[in-house]
Amino acid sequence: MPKIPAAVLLAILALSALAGCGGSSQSQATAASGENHFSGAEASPPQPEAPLRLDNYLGEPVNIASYKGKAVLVTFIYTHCPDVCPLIVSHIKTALALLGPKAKDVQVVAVSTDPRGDNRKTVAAFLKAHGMTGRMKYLIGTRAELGRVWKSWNIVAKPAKAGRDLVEHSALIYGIAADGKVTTLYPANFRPAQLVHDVPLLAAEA
Amino acid sequence: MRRLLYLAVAVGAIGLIALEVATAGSSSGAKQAPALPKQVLQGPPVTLAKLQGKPVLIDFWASWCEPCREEAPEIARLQHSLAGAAIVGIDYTDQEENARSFIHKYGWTFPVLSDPDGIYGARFGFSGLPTAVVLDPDGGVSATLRGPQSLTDFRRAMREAG
Repeated sequence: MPKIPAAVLLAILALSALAGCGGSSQSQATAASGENHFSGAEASPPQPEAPLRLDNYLGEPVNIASYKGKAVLVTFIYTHCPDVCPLIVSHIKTALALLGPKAKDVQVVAVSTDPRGDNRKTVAAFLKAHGMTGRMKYLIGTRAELGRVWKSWNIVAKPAKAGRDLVEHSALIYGIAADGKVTTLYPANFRPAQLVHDVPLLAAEA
Repeated sequence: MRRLLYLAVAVGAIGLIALEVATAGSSSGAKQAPALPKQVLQGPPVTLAKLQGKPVLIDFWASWCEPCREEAPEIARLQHSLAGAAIVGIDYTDQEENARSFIHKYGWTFPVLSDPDGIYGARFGFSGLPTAVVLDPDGGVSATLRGPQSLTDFRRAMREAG
């Protein structure tokens, strides 16, 4: 993999975050090497997950470390995001449906990128609208609390210049293996079939 | 996490640099489209077999998708100018009441099917919404149009499909 300065990465991710529902001219990014057995891009070697302890929208504490033994998908979204966020959640929902009984081997975690707009009420409505109530841990917090998580997970989240309460943010999904290591990465325009392929492999990486 | 940072760079760069190429093919050798959902939001029920013999536009959309709202009036205009062709909408992972409001708002009168879990959409293999798949009269995939399209884009694709 090429080594590109972090600033370039952040610009790329911020720019790609607000593309139309992940469609338009974006391509499907997949693992480049034929040696990879994951459908998503593979970290080589897998890296320990960064700390992630926040409350979910119901006020319940969530610690990602408690999910060791399962695959975990971590994404960063906000509820009134007009394009990539609902698409990410819908594709995850599709993947869970396609996984069938194997869906019990994965925990989906979303971290808010909008401390101002994401609250108990808006998150509940968002999860209901996307059929994900009870199927996704949606974590919220203050700007300071979320900011610490964004930083440790290399996420950019900032108000969009376009206004309308939009947020420019890194739009990706981390795949965490059962051993607690960040193992795969998916762009916002991933296909559900990639998760269907990778979740059992991530869950088996004990 | 630093290695992952580089990994993310590569993924993001690939996503921005490379362009998706629309699937193209002739009616004689085109890949056949996967089956359509059976759940009907707006009738009549349709199947691929029933649609053969004319070009068909299959449009995947959702009420929560802002670019879909941008495209919806263009599809509404298209439905009034179809001659010997058909449109089928497929609502992807949506709430039914929101989907019905969307259909009503834009005055769509063509058949709309529901894919609440996205399983049928996954078989088509698209990654973003809206996505329109144009079928030739033999049911083969003539083109895949990604992102919001104009009436002109739709007409051109359907004309090329046959």
